[in-house]
Amino acid sequence: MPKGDSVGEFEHLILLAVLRLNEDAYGMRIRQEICTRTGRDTSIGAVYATLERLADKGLVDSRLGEVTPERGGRAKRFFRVTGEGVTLLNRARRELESMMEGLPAVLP
Amino acid sequence: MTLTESLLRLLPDEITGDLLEESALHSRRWLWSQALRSCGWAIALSWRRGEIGAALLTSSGGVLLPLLAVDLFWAWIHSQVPLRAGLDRPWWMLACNLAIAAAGCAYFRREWTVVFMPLAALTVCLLNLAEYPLWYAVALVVLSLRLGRKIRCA
Repeated sequence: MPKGDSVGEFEHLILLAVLRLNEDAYGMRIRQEICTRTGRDTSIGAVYATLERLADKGLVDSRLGEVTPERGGRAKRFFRVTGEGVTLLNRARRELESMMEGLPAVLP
Repeated sequence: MTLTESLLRLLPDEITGDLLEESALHSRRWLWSQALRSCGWAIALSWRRGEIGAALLTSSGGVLLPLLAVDLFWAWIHSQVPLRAGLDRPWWMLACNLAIAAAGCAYFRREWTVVFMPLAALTVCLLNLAEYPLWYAVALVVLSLRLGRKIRCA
């Protein structure tokens, strides 16, 4: 696997959050999803910078949504994991499961 | 305008929108901290999208180079006059420089205008420090920003 095809830990979390949120995957919801599930209080800027990086790698794509008054007239940017992103996640899962195989449930 | 509002203006639209939407659930302090923590990332994002490079290029092309050209023109006029005593820079030089800088401030993106336009104007003044008094540099920067804002609002 070429080095450029791999993703870091935070990129991995973002990809999974986008997958989980499905149609509702935009910056704020992705940040909240990561915060709720991992306890990490990340900044919204970090989420967008990572999403931009993932988009450059072709692992996510985005579209602009509707403008709402509570957002000060600014549109939401919705994200979606591409086929390439799903392939990468499946491969990462297989690799992780393979490495975990045979190890005790709670690691010493 | 509060410091938090100023910070939010510097961030990309989608980040500001998300922060405003989520701020209803949190305190003002949370919003301030998120905006501050997102600033570095926003700069990285703008750099990645090529916005900073474009702003630098347009500020140098739209303000710095015309100002230098006007200055070179004056230097040429000055060189043609045999008796230079008392030959001060005429008032229209400031007006001309001001018009160029204000047009640049009005035309380019507000967030980068605040940083790059004064920088471009100051660079010209610093390159000609012997020619320009300090008040000229300060007046050029302050007036061009104010005038630019007026032109943008009109």
